[in-house]
Amino acid sequence: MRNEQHPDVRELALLAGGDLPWWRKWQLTRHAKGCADCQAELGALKDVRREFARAASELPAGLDWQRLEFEMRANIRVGLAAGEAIRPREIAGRWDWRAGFAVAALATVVVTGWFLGRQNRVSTAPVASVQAGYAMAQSGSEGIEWKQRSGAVLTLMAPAARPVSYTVNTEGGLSARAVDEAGQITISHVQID
Amino acid sequence: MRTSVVTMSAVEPSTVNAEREAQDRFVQENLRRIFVLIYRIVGNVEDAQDLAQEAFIKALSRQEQLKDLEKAAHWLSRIATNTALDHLRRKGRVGFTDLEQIPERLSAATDLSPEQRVLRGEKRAQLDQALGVLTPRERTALMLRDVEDLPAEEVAEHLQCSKATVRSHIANARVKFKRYFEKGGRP
Repeated sequence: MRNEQHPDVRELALLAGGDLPWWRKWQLTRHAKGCADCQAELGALKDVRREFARAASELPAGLDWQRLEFEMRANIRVGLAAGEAIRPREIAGRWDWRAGFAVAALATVVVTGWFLGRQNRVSTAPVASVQAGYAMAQSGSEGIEWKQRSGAVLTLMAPAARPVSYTVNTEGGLSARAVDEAGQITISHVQID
Repeated sequence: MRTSVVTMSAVEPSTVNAEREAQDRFVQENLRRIFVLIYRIVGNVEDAQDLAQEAFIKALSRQEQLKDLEKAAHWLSRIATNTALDHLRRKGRVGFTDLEQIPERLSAATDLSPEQRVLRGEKRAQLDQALGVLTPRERTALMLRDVEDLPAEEVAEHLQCSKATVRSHIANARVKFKRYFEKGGRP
């Protein structure tokens, strides 16, 4: 580049801040070394840039920064609290995959338990009865009822409001099994000979 | 089977306190820088205060962005820049308010003599006037490049334009600035 071909001042402005591609930077720097006008222009642009960076990073003249800072920090805190209050809860967003897995496992256990419990559930209607001669053992809502043809009834009570499971065997026996609130297991067995 | 209902808070109190402390520290470390950045773009203390607060609230509403503090600071600058430019777009013009109009925020700098204060005030007034000569995008590009010291690529990301456009803004701004001070005084 010859001296009479001065670069555009905008390019010198970019050179002053190191904002040119390396090849163009090398060309212009080389030119400026041999050109007093461009060197002066470049120097002035560098001064302006430096002074701007210094002055522009200062606070506005006469500003009470401590007071303003305190006020702004308080306002930011209030703004965040207000935003938190109106924002819908995003609990799911806080859970990671492990929590999700735990919930899925728990749901599986609950559903399986419900399903298996359903298999063992006994209705209040008699579901099992054993009869031999004049006697009959029959499942009832409160346990095993042992009836005689004469009308006498003996009831082996199961714990109140607890599911009772009944088992009938081929030898004329009827068993009732129930678990009370304390975990106590009651088994009643009636065998008709 | 006995069913027990246990109610637990989703977030432990110690976690809440730690989050709040991190937020406070983040605000303290960046507030002055962000306020000055916005002030130089909008040229008005009142607006700069509101916009800086808005930028922090936007940034802190997304906790996950605070994990990497260096990235968070850049991200905050980006929010601040966009908030300031959006404000100017809405407002349609730039109003460089004279600080004398808001006396309740003014206080005399006690460490300076009256002469120094006058000189310093004059310089800053000149700077504000010179910034008023630039377009908002030129001002923003110059602030991000020369004050925030971001590379042109990042300035382009902040302004959502090409690197060539950023270079053009920066070159125009520096030349306008130089001419302004050549005519009227010095920065």
